[in-house]
Amino acid sequence: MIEKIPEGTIIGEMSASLDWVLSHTARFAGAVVVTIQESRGFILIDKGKPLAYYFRHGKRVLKGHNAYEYFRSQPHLRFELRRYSPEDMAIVMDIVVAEDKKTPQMESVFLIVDAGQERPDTNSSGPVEIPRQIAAISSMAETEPQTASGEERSAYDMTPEELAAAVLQQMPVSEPLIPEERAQEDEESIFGEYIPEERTFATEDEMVANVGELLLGQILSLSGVIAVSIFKRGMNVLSIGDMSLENLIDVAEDLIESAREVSTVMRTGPFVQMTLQIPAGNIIIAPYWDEYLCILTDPGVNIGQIRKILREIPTGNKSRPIAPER
Amino acid sequence: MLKDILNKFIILEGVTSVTIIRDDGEVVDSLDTREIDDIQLAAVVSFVMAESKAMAQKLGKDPLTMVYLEFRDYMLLSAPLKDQLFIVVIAKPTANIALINAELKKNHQNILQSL
Repeated sequence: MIEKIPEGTIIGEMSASLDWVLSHTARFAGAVVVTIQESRGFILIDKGKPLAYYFRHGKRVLKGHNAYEYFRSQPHLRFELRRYSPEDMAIVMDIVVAEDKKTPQMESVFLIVDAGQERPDTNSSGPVEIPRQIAAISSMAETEPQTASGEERSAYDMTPEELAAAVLQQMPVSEPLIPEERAQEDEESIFGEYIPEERTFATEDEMVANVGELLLGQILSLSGVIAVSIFKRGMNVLSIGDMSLENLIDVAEDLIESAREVSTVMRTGPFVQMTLQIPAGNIIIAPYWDEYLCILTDPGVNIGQIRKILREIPTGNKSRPIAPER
Repeated sequence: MLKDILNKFIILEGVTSVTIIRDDGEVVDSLDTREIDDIQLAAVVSFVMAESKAMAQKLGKDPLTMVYLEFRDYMLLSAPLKDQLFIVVIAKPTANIALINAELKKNHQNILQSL
């Protein structure tokens, strides 16, 4: 399936944890194509909402929750970001749905039904109505279709009641997907889109966050930018580009501390950015929310453009507003 | 002689101070239009320069040519002159960095000769 998904616009290759990916894609619509060793998978995201998780290792396929858990178990994911247009998104959704039809085992259920319908009442004996959303709820799936009964039945062949029951059966008993304290609140969510973590956004914060994401995207697209790292408290949380800047983080943090001291002594106002110029290029360090950016450029880059963008990035003493609440 | 050269910087639009500092934090000479504590400034800027050199070394053998710090109300431009000396120019954000940089290059040799 991975080979079939659209190429879209490739933004770049990066390395970061799954949590970071999910909390930094509020404006992103496309695929996060993950590579772990020699195997690949993807997370389909639409404006911050994960629509599907998929990973394939040899003949084994992980989908939905299991793929999510596997991605989450990795301290860092190497991935490629592919931005999708609405047309690309429609194509990839068709592929996802077709794949599910092709391997219609109960382990993987992607549900699509009519719009405008209310969430189902799982206790009701009446017809189950499912909203137009995708539920990527699954457990480990083999490529060879196999159901408990030995029959090959598509989710599309089931009655809504059977489908609901099938989904419920897939919910792990020993490890609930949803923490107990949220279980009641989220009881109906198995029929909605699968959201691994509660994501509650304040509209104003989201708008500010979107500005930050947009500006970072602008920097990455500038000619002459070689690599970008986002770091915090000595840890590299994201690397973009051909060169790893991880070995620069310790010194970069010392430099930030020194810059703060300069600010205190000289009463200069808050720190905006610093640029170190060497013959081979420039190193730019700047606050990015409550984290920092380290940008490596070649000598020909338009520093003025980067400075202008950096000045527009909002900084905050609180956590990044787009991060999911915990 | 050195004061005359430093004066070429201080007359530039937006420049508020220009200081020659030794890497141990000693102030060699300075001119300023704004009351700042030269000694404290030299101490903190010498740290910035030491760490900037460490950063440049991590990237290779290239020497550091300039450090530029931007704050909301001021900016600081620092460039090594020779082994243990560097020049620090503080200016308002409205100052023309390219002009300051050009003046640094133009006067680099003269500053070295006058030290």
